[in-house]
Amino acid sequence: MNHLLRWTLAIIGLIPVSFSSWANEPIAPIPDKIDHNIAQAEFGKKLFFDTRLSADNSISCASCHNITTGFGAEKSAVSTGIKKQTGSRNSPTIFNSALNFTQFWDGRATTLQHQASSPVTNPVEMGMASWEQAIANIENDQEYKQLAKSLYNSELTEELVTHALAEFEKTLITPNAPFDSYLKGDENAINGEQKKGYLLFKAYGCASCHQGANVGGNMFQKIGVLKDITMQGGTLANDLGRFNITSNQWDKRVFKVPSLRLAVKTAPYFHDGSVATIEEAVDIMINFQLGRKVPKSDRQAIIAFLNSLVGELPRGVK
Amino acid sequence: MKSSLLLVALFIIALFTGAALFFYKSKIPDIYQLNNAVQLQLNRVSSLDTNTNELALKNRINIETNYDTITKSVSQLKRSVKNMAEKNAPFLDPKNALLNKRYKALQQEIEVKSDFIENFKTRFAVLRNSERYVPVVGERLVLTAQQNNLTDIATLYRDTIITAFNFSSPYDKNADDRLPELIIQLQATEAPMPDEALSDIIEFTRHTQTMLNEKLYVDTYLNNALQTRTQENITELNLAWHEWLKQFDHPKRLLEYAIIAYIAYILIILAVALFLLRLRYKNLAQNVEEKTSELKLTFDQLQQSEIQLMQAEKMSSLGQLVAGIAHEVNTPLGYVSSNISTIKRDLHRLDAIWVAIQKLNQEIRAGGKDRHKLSQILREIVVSYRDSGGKQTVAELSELLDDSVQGLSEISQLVISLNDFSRIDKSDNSAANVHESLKSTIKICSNVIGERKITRLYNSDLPEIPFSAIQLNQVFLNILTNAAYATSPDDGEIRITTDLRDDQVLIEFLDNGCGMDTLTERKIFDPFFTTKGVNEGTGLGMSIVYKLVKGHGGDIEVNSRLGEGTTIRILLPVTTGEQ
Repeated sequence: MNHLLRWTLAIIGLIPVSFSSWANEPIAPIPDKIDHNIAQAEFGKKLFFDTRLSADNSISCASCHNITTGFGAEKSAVSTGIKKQTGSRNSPTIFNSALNFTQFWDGRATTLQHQASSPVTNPVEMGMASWEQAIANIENDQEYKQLAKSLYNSELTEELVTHALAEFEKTLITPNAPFDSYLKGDENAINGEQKKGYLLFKAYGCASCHQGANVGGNMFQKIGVLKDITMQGGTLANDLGRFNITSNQWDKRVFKVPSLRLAVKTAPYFHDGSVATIEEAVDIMINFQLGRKVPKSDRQAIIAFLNSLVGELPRGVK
Repeated sequence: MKSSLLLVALFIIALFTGAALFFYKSKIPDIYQLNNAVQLQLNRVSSLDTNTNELALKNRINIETNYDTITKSVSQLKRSVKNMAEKNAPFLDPKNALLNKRYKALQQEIEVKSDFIENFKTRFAVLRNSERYVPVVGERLVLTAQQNNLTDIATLYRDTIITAFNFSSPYDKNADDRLPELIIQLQATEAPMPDEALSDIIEFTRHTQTMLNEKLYVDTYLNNALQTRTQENITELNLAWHEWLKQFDHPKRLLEYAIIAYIAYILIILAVALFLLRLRYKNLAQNVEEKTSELKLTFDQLQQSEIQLMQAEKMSSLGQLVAGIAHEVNTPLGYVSSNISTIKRDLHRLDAIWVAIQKLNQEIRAGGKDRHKLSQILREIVVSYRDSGGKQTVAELSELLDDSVQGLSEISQLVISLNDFSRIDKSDNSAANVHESLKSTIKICSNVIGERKITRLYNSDLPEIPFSAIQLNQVFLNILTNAAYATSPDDGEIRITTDLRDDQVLIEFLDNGCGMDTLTERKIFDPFFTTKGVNEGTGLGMSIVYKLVKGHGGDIEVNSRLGEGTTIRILLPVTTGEQ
């Protein structure tokens, strides 16, 4: 139906709707670049790796968002902060987070900058008593002082540090995935199984929530929408998600739909990292979100498709 | 003085008033620009709001295939409202009650809309999945039912599929009621259908139920989102904004009046200043006259002195001249006088002869018979004749007379020369003949020149020059007098050269006198500078020469070598400046 409809519309002349070849697809390619201030991003990169922003100088942003070898996330289920304290949520990949409409699993931060300030003062993460203390820890760094002066015409402040971090995060995108090339018209960018996997991804309805340029990250959804998640037999039902923010009954177990762009690389899965493998994750999604049975071969195809979503890591990160 | 103090005071007041006005103006914001900015921002909010609505609908009917655009639109909408407050502090100020309230209302409404949109997105994703799946699983069930000859059940399944389809499309409103009924019936089909179909039946039921539930939510959220009062809020905010702006109407008007008053004040000061200026101007001439009258007096006196000095010099040179003339006149006058005395004496002797002859005449008339008387008379005549000196006497007398006539003619010539010398012309710039002037002057001072040799190298084609003859004579007189004084009486030589150079006449006086040293040479034109003794000269001669030459647009040059002589060169223009 789709093909016929598309061509009919084209003939009627509704092509102005969109000229791109992915116009009617639920997934769009990642843009090559997000506008950012290069110098400020460079500064942010230094801060990203700076452990002095943590109370015991042991943790930096890079500790949980490992951009060099961890695809921007980490292998543990939940993060470990200072003094070996553990948190309750799994670190999502920092790559492509600039494409998300909110940050954190519960979407409580509306901007990258807003998110960046949170871990510093989180007692179980970087554990600073306050941002004043964090600034005090780094304000004698001559290089930072000079950069702050020349780039922001100001002294070091929370606003300045988080802004620089956010600028840096804008550079952390992974464009040019094989699937993106396919979307742009290269029929040979992905193989037959991956193409089949994509069609199934759409047909089964995965693409209803995991859509857009980031294959997710632009909406909230309840986990266990077609089947009650308390029946999972695991810990996924324990976290009430957005309810903790809004206190709204309807927001119980509602989370931000995560991006699947680097999913195959960033095990473990879900908000508490309790699911170890991608196969298991796909199973749970199908079961509790789609309310359907899916044959194993279809699952394999879908996972093959998910592999084709992995784009190029930015230069200078490895 | 008082008036200028007043002016200064007024000016200072103007300055302060101006500063005050400026300060007041700075307190009033630029309403026009401010309003423009706010209108632009409100427009942006409004268009983003409309855009969001549009995208929500597009998503609902599957023209938009993912949520990226609507998500971005909502995010921009929220940010645009926040920006508006950040750029316009009055919105956030609780003192502006209505404005703040309306702003908060708009902000709130947008939050509400945003929440509805998020919920719509969440629900719609689920609805769409079920909508898509229901026919798929339903078709499977229909087949299974048909394979098992459960035609009623198959019909039910098909019916459900179609009703669900109608339900999801907006065309058949009856489907809204029918679908729940059908779903209830579905559960009853579990028993008759084979076991392997159970999961399908469960799925079919669940998804159809989901459709039923979610569509309600989806459309309610969408409707609520579209029906939020954001546009009205924007309008109300705009109205509140304009109300808020009105508060500046009064100050603005005050400011306008103040500025008009200020301008009037400035104009008044200006008028006063101009008036005072005019007054000053009128008095100016008088003041200047007063102040310079003393100067003028001094100047007049100076001019008088100068004239007097020139007169004095003239008098002095005249004195010398007169002395010379007196001498020149005295000499011939002397011998004419003595000649006449001699003639008188001789004539007196001749007279004795006439008397004797007269006696003879008488006697002859009386008869001439008395021979004694006749011989006495004859004897008288002879005696007288011998006494008078004889025939020689008449010749001598004739000579004396000639001499006297000569002497008198000399005096006459002198008088003519004097006349020439002091010839009064009508204007200072009437033409003078250089050679004539030289001639007259040489004659006048011939006494002073004495035996010195005068060489003349004249250019015969010399034109007349615009120079007063008296003054030209005076110039030449002074120079010649000096030259004579400098040279020895015996072999003193003065060479006078005249020539025409371009349109200038050159007159050069060269003497072989004692010359001057550099110091003297430099000072000869200085008034009262003289090398002569105290009663011999005024020292004004050359300074007057200088003044006269320069006054006629000419030039004078002195070259002297001590012990060898002096050259004085005068250049005079042939035409006056005006010609």
